[in-house]
Formats: sequence, structure tokens, C-alpha cells
Amino acid sequence: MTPRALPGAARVLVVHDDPAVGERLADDVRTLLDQLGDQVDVVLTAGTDGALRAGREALAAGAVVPIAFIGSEALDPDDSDRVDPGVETLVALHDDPDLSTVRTVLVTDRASLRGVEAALQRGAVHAMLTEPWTQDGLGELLDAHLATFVLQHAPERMDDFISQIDDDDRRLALERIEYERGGTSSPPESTHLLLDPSVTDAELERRMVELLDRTLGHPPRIRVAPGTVLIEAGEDVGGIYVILDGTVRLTSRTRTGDRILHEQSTGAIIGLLSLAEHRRAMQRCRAVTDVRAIPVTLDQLARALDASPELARLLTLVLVNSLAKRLRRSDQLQIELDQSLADLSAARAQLVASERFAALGEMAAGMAHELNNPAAALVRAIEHATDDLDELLDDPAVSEVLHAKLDRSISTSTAEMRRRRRAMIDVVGDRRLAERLIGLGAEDADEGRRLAALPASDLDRLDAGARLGRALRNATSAAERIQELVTSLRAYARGDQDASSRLDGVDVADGLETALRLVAHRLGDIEVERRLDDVPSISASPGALQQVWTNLLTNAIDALGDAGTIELGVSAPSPGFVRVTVTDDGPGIPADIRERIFEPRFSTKDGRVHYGLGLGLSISRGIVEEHGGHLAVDSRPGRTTFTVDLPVAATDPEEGRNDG
Amino acid sequence: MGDLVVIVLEDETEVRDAIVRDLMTFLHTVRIDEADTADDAEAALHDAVRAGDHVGLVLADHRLPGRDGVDLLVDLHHDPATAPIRKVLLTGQADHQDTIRAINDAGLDWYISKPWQLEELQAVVVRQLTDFVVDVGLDPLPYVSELDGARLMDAYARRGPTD
Repeated sequence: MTPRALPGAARVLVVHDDPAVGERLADDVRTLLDQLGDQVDVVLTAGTDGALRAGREALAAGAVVPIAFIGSEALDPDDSDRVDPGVETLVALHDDPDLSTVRTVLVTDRASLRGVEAALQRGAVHAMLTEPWTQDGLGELLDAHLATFVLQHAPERMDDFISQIDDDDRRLALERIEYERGGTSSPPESTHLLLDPSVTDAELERRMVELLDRTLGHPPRIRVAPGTVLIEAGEDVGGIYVILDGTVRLTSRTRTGDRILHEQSTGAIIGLLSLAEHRRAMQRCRAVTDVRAIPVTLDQLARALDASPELARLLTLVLVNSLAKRLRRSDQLQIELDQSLADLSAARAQLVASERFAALGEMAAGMAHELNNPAAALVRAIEHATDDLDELLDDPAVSEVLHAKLDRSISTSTAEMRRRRRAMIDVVGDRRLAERLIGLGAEDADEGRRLAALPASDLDRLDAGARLGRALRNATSAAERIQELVTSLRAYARGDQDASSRLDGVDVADGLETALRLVAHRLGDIEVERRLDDVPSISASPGALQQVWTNLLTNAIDALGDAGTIELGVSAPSPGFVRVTVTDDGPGIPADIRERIFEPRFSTKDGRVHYGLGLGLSISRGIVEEHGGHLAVDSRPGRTTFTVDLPVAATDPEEGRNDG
Repeated sequence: MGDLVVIVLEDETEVRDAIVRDLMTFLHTVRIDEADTADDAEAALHDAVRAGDHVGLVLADHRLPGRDGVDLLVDLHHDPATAPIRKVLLTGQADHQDTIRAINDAGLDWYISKPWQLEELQAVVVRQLTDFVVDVGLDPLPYVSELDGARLMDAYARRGPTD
């Protein structure tokens, strides 16, 4: 135990079984101690015997042995019975009476505390260096332990090493010596840090490292390269890491691959939360940069906490901060998750609605096709029946009445019929008779009297002829209405697929009328006013435009509800363009949604999808723009106008607007 | 004594003609009047009243330009003079709300959906007109052959000898 202060060289031992690694380490130590010149010698050796021999030789030569770097050997982690030969060497040096003052540094290529935990806890190892080491890490270690050795065992030679040892090194060394002697310094009482908002993370870390250094005697730092796994998920953690520099990433394995939970850098304590999970690591912790950290075994941590109540408080604070941070992150994730779920469900609803529309469109097209033939057959059949009736009827008077009733240009209101009936009652006196005469088309008193004079059987035949005429007329107009609806429906359903095919000579007013027929059943008490100027026909896709008109009309009807007025306008305010306006005197589009009405969005009302504002308008705008036109809206309470400007000549949407 | 009258309110000529034609096949003692608007139906009603006739049934479509059929039935229901008139809605497109209103506010007696069947129309009209004749206390004898004869005779018997 007697330090020998001898003039001449100090010898640093490098003990390594791998000559290449040993050589490199020896070279690096030499470089770092270059300033000391001849004062220091670095000796490379191997094995426990080699280490003891080299140490004794140095002492015999009158040199001091301040530090020994001892290589550890990679052990099979499953073979827990084997003792690391490096640790054996450490213990041998520690137990040798002459060499027990040597500061021992265990050199290991494992970043994990596993395996070297035992060595650390024996107190036989003063520091730990991980391979690959860095010059900074190595230098820091050298300075710290050189200072400790000199202060403790050769203070009179301090001047020789002054170039290597600064005030900080000296202060830390004193603390280390104090600790190793078993003394503890009690920290001053202070307010609980959790209640002190001025404490910064950096300050917290500085204070914590200071306390760890003080209570554990400047525990070794490790430096690890990017990619090194410090803690493996699911494994038992041997202790914690205080990150001094660099960034680590915590990841969890999920079904969709590794998921980064968060990154932590300087000041973070890794593994702390695992302590609450029966030392089972929750996440994998991997260095993403060069990381400098203090590994603290659980045993060391227990001792440090025991020795320093302040450290316990700090650790609590760090733990709380860390939990708070993760909780915030977790809250944030929850919010994001909720939002994502809401978005997903909205997107799904939209998809379902779109599909429903597509299905409706196809069904409409199919129905239109299926209805078309019977309707056409009906119209023709009535024409043929009428022709054959004339053949069968050899009574010109009956034929005449029948054809008069077939004439659809005559349309008389029920009120007018009643007026005529009253007049006829005055002529013939009998109400039933008057009714029959009016039914036969008698318009004046003479005609009435002439028919009234006919024998009853003749009158009956004429009655039958008139009824037949009316029935045929009604059948014809009903069949024609079906045809018109079919045509409108086909034009509408065809819209999408024919959007790109243009026809010349498209009459926008015609299209408006067709659309109006399609929505007529919804008009109710809504009045429709038309202001249709003569405008040139345009080159367009009639089916697609049909969709636009239908959509604009539907919107107007939706806006008006039960009653109101829709104004349809067709004009040509500027050459080369026609303008269609659809105006309603409804409540107007609320200001807060006016900006968004062209966004593809669905609204639902009473559980039914409304294709009014939203998808319809966004499709309409798309169609109009494909035609090289423009769809605009102007809305205020009492007057909402959608204006569609369309170019007369076809424009290719890809090339932009033509001159014509 | 005036006629028993049915007013058919329907704006589409083809449909109105078809209804009237259907009614004519089984109603000969009952006069059928037509109207294409709710206002005209009221005019027909006034005409009938002036002529001393009895409007026993209004058969109304729902969707009409201007006042709709339900509006008219509601008004008839609230006027004591017209309240006894039987009210039947004949419609293809009444929504839920309209139907509820017709039943609750117009004392709707029956509802027929389009397209109607002749047998159904006939049964409904016969039953409603019979109800009207019995309730109002018209002389049932002229209608025994066309309406529900058994019920009418029963009512006639109960009217007693005061006639």
C-alpha cells in the first residue's frame, strides 16, 4: 500500500487478449499522453499473469502504475457460469498488495451492462470503456483516473502531470477518493425541485450527474456508436443509462413493423420506467448518434439513492417529467387516433354514398332502356288502334266526335267546362243532358239543340265515340310522357360516360327543360319563371350538362322547401359564350359554408343522403370546367344565383380556352 | 231533392278522366263533378250547394299546383257546413308528413294509393257514400241499388214513419 514516488516514467498498462485491439488502444493512449513525453510509458501485455508481471516490473523499475486498461472477453450470454477473464485479471490486480492502487478500466465491446454488472459491483473496476472507443471518451477517462491516482497516491508529483490534469479533474478526483473511502457528503436541503419551475432540464441533468459522480465516485462513462442497442425490449434491464450526449431512439415492435415511440437526447434517463415493470424493458433503446452515457447498475443506483436524498428527489422529478411527457404524447396520439377514426368513417360514408349513386345511375340507365321499348310500342299501338277504329266505324258522326276528342291541342279547364255546362243547362233545361252535350263537345246553343234533337241511341253512340277518343288521347299523352321521362333519364344517367364526347348544336334551353321535367315532381308550390333569350346552340356534352342543370335545380328546390320562385335564365351577355342562371328566392347559403359548397362533401338529412350541395356541386363545377366554362355562385338572403358560362365552340380542357 | 255528388280533384287530365270513367261504371244515380285545382273543387262545391245538391265525397289528389289536396281537405273539415263530406286521398306520392296531416287535421276517411284498382276504388266509394247518406240522413231509397243496399234499408227502417 505504500505509494512509491519515484522519478522517471509512469507506466500505463494495456492488457488485452486481442493483440490488434490492444495495440490500437496502446497507440491511442500514447497519443493522448503525448504531452507528458518521457514521463509516461505505455506497456502492452496479455492475460492475468502478463498483467501482474508487467505491473511488478514497472514497480521494480521505480515507475508508478496509475492505470491499467484490461480487455474483457465476449462471453456467451447463455453461459452465465463462466467468469470473464478480464474480470479475473481485474480482481487479481485488485488483490495484489503492491498493485491494488492501480486504477482499473475494463474494456468491453458490449454496450449492455449485462455481464459486466458483476465486475462493476465488485468494486474492482474503477471505470469502463466500450469498444469502439473514441479519443474523447478515452481521454476523459485517462484524465479522470490519472488525476485520482496522482492525488491519492502521488500528490507530490502533481506538477509532473499538470498539463494533463485541470481543476475540474482534480475536484472530481477528490470526490471520487472521498466516495471510495466510504464517506458521503450530505447535500444542502432545498425546496422540492418539482415545485421549482425555474429548474431547466439541463440544470437537472447537470445536478444529477454531479450527484451520481459524488455518490458513486465518478462512475465510468461509456461511448457507443450509432446503431448500438442499449436495451432490448422484453429483456431484464441491469440498470439505467444517463444520457450525457447524443440521441437514443425508443422503438416498439408492432404488427406493422417497428414503431418509433420517441427519441430522447441529452439529459434523458433510459430504463427508468422499466423499473416499474419488474425490470422488464418495454421498448428497445438504440443509439442513433454517438452516445455518451453513464451506466448505473441497480445496485449502484440503490447506493446512490441511499447516500443522497437529493438524488432521490431529482430522480423522482425526472421520472415525473418523463411520464408527463409520455402522457402528453399519449394524449396527442389518442386525439390523432380519434381524428383518424372520424376521417376514416367519413371517408367510408362518402364511399358508400358514391357507390349508391353509381348504382342508382346504372339502375336509372337500365330502367330507362327497359321502359323505352314498351313506351314506344304503346304509342304505336294507339295509332294503329285509331286507324282500325275508323275502319270499323261506319258512322262519320261518331268518327268526327272521336277525332275531335283525340285532338290534343284543345285543353279545357274544369272551371271552363262547368261554365259551359251551366250555359247549356239554360239552353236545354236538363242538367244530365247538358252534361252529355258538353261532353260531346257542343260549344254553343245551336250545336246543343242539334245534338239534343238526336234520337237517344244516336246520342249513346256519340257518347261512346267521345269517350273512346278521350281514352285514346289520354293513352297517347301518357305514353309520350313516359318517353320524355325516359329520354331525360337516359341523358342524365349517360352523363358520366359521355362527358368527354361533344356534340354540336346543343340547345341549353332544351336541356334546362328536360332537367326541369326530371325534378317536376319535387316542385310542389314552387313557381318556375323563365327568361330565355335566343342564344346560339353550343358544342357540348348534353348528358353531362343535364347533370349540372338537374343539380342546380335540385339545390334551388332544396333551398326553397315548400314554396318560392325559381328563375331560369338563358342569355348571351358576351360573344362566344352562353350564360345559364338558376336563381331562387330562398334563405341563401349561410356565409359560413359558402366557401365550402364546392368541396366534395355529403350532407345527410333524415338519414337520407342529399346530393344537393356538396358532391353535386363539385361534380357540376368539374363538368362546367371540362367544357371550358365557369360556374359561380352569388348568394344573399332572398336571392341565390348560380351562373354557368359556357363557350359556344368546343374547347379542349387540356389545351385551355380557344380563341373562338 | 238534389243529387248526390262526388267531386274528383286531380290536375292531370288523363288521370282525372280515368278516375271519372271508373266511377261512371258503377255510379249512375250519383253525379260526378271534376276539378283540376283545389280552388275549382271549392267552386264546384258551391255550385252544387246552390243547386241544392249534396256533395257526399271529395276524392282528392295530393300534389297539385297551388293549394294541395290535403290543404283543401283540412279546410273542408274545419267548416261545419262541409265537415260531413267524406274525404278520400288518392295519391301516388304523399310523404309521411302529408299523410299524418291528412289523417289528423282533415279527418281523412280513406287513403288510396296510385295506381288504384277498380274494385278497391269502387268498394271505398260505395262505403263512404253509404256512410254519408246514413249519417246525414238523406233519403236512402234512390241509392239502394248502387250503394250498400242492406245498410241503407236498415237505416231507412230505423228512420221510422216520420218521413
